[in-house]
Amino acid sequence: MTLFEATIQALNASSFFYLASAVFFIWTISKTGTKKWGKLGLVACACVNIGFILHTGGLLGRWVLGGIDRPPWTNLYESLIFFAWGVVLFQVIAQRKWKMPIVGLVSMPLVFVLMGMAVMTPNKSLEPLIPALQSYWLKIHVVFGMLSYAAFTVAACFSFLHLMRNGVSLKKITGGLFLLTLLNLGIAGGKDFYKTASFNLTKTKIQTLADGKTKMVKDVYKEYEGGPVITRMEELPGTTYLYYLVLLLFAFGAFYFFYSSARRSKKLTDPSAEEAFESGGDYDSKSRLILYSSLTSYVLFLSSIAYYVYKSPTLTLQSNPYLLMLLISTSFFIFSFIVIERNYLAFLKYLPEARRIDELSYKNILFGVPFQTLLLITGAIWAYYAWGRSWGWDPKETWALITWIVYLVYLHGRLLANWSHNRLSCVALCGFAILVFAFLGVNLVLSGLHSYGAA
Amino acid sequence: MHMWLKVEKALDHLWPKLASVKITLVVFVLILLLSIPGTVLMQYNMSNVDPGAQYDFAFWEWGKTLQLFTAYQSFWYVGLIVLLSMNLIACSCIRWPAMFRAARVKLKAFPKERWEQQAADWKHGWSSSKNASDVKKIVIDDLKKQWIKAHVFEESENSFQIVWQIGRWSRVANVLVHTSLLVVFMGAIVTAMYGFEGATNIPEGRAVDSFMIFKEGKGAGLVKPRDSRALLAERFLGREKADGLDRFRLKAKRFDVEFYKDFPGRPKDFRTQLEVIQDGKVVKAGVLQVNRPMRFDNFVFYQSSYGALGYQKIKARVLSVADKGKTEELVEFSTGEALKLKKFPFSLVPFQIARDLMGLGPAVHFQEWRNKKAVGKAFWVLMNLPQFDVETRQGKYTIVIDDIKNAYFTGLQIGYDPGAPIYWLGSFGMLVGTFYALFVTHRKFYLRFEKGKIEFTGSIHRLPMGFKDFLAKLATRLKGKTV
Repeated sequence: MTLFEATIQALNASSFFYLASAVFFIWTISKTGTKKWGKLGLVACACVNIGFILHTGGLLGRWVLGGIDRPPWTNLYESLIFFAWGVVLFQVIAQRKWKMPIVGLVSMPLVFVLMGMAVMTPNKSLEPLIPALQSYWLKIHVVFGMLSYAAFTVAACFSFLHLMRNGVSLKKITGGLFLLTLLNLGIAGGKDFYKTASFNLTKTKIQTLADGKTKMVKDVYKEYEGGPVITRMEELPGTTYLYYLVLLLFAFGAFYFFYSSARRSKKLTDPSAEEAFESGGDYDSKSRLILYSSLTSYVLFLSSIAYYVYKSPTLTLQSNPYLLMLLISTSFFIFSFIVIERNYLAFLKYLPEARRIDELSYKNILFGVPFQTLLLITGAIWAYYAWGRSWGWDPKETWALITWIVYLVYLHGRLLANWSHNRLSCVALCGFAILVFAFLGVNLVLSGLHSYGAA
Repeated sequence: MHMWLKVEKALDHLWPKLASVKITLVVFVLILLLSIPGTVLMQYNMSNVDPGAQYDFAFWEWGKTLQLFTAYQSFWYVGLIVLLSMNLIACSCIRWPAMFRAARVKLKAFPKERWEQQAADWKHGWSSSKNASDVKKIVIDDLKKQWIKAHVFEESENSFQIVWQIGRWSRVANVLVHTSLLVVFMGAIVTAMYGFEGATNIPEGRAVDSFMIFKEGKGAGLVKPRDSRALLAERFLGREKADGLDRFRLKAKRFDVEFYKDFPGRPKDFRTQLEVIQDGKVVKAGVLQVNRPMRFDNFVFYQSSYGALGYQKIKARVLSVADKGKTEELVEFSTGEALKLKKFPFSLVPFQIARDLMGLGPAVHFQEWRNKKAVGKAFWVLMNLPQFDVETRQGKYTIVIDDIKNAYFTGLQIGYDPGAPIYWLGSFGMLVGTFYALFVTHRKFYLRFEKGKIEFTGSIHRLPMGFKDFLAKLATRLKGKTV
């Protein structure tokens, strides 16, 4: 086994450890009645640590292979891995320094999604750098970006836990998640879906060879010389109706959950777990029916696409890592949400007091904002040398600025406008959604100069 | 009432409203939302592709009125930034004096009645066997080592308080952040008013004297601004009147591109040997590379792209067969272009290139010209087999091909950015300010000694939960020294 293969294997293995840790975290809280952080929790933390060591080793190995001037964060595969590494770093700090390992319940599934997307990215080669990236600013700029984005991600995880622990209605949270899913589906479907019933996730790069045959392209650079490469979207006529059904159910669900949750529950200050449960654990059989039916339709829809892709002669699941990841991660998220909903009181008892969780969220944002500022400024300096302007309103730049502004809203709302902690947590979660789009969505959806996202 | 009294009264009324945090937050959210259309829609300043070609006519007309294709220079976006700046200035005038006063306020002893009210996990106590003056000396010396000034408040003969604080200026660091933001805006305004970005493509070996300004979508001459006045002259007087100013030309003397071996199509490096020519003389020369720009007066030139010109360049030697190659002429042909030779009385046109002629390697199809007429048949010259031409054609001269390569143009960007020093200064201030304001916390510590008993507590202006642990650690350290 060469060093290159070893690094790939280490990184693959680490993502399995992360999945295992996520499962153990869920398992821990599903043990009703045991209030203490038991052996399962320790196993979960151990999985995180082992994964982190493998992960670090894999990254270092790639750096050694690529040479000092080619740090391991220059294409989509490596960016995903590096970002995930940052989030795990914060998870390890949460375990050791802040004594808050339970945040892994939210952060580790996220890490697993990132790692899974990376593992399934077809192009893992150590591509040499194009001239624009041959600069020491590459090392500085990206590291700052990773630090701030990872801090914001962990802050969002804390905020999510804080909302639950502070007694916000679980129905309201479900409604929010439904809205998010709707948005996600809308973006993923894109306008083409409504017109041609072809799904954005079924994109393939097809190359027409000299003899008229077509073949699928995995590595654009390696197969560049063969002939022109076009991106094609496969039509999936049957799934359109399922798609509409899912959209309808989720829209209805979002409406129902927001409407039926207690309108203005009394503001709690530092509620105990029981108080929080009394105010927030407002699920009844009707809500469960709506929740499970929407989730079932969603899973059906995704599996129908997967089946279609599996049957199609030109498409493969391997060429659609995002689709596959969406399948695995959504099933996992749905499963964990059901586990939490079923054991809500036990789950709340596991969490430390709301103020402490909120403070850690705030602390991470306080850490992230200066580094986000650094990201913007070092980016401007680099752009000044490489492209001849410091700020050119490239989509990536603009979205980084948008992310920055969301957290400025957070800080000003907190320091000057005395916003409630619940509202601030919502801002932090919105910030995370925007961050994900700034980090991945811009490269996958919009065009621009930051081309590492071209898988 | 006087007109301007009215204005003053209106301002008095408006000023506190303008300083409200609500406006800040609303403007933030609006900026956030209105930044999005510019990232989705094609923009004028992004490239030289005209957004008009991308959308259907009705949308195009509609978008033009709303300035959607110059979103970040549009009236609504700039208006928001202006509103934000006004809000910031108003806020500063109202809040900053109080902030400075708060930071400079003198430390006071912790009130006696509040010692009791202090929560248990915020208060640490232990008894000491040392007497008052010893404890005082130990604590003050310890603080001195850390460059912290201790304030001692004597309560009675046998009791005193030592009070100290860390990071009080972090409370006013936001002043630096906000001032710097205004400085950045100022730099941006200067750049927007007097600066520009442009681009030009120079075919290898040639010179150009004009380029395209992105912002305005039109060509402009390369004018050398002595002190940026010339540029202003062109902006305000029009091109004809500004034409008298000294112009210069840019020549791409040579362009090289290198590709990675294992990754075809992925460039490793590309560079231009650039010359600035003025009055027929080379006034500056240098090598331009990505990430390595070249400066000339107030202009900065950047290597940004390259492209194939659609023809090849052939380096060759024309040899006379009669004197066995003693008459030799080094030439560089471009495909499709007749080249008049100096040592021979005719021209040659290489009009076709074969990558691989009948398995014999690269070859060039030549035609001889005399007096604008083709002479004889066209003939192939093989790069790897020069004797082929001599043997088959039996002509008076032959051609030996040394090299065939693609001809490229080099894509340069030209920037004139007079606001840069201002906004870099602002950025630096913002950076220092943000780190200081958000990383450093204002912490106060109170240590009270009374009859062999020591009590210790502290306060912080944010993140209290984490501070509790810090306080406990500090208490253990002090206890170790004073017990």
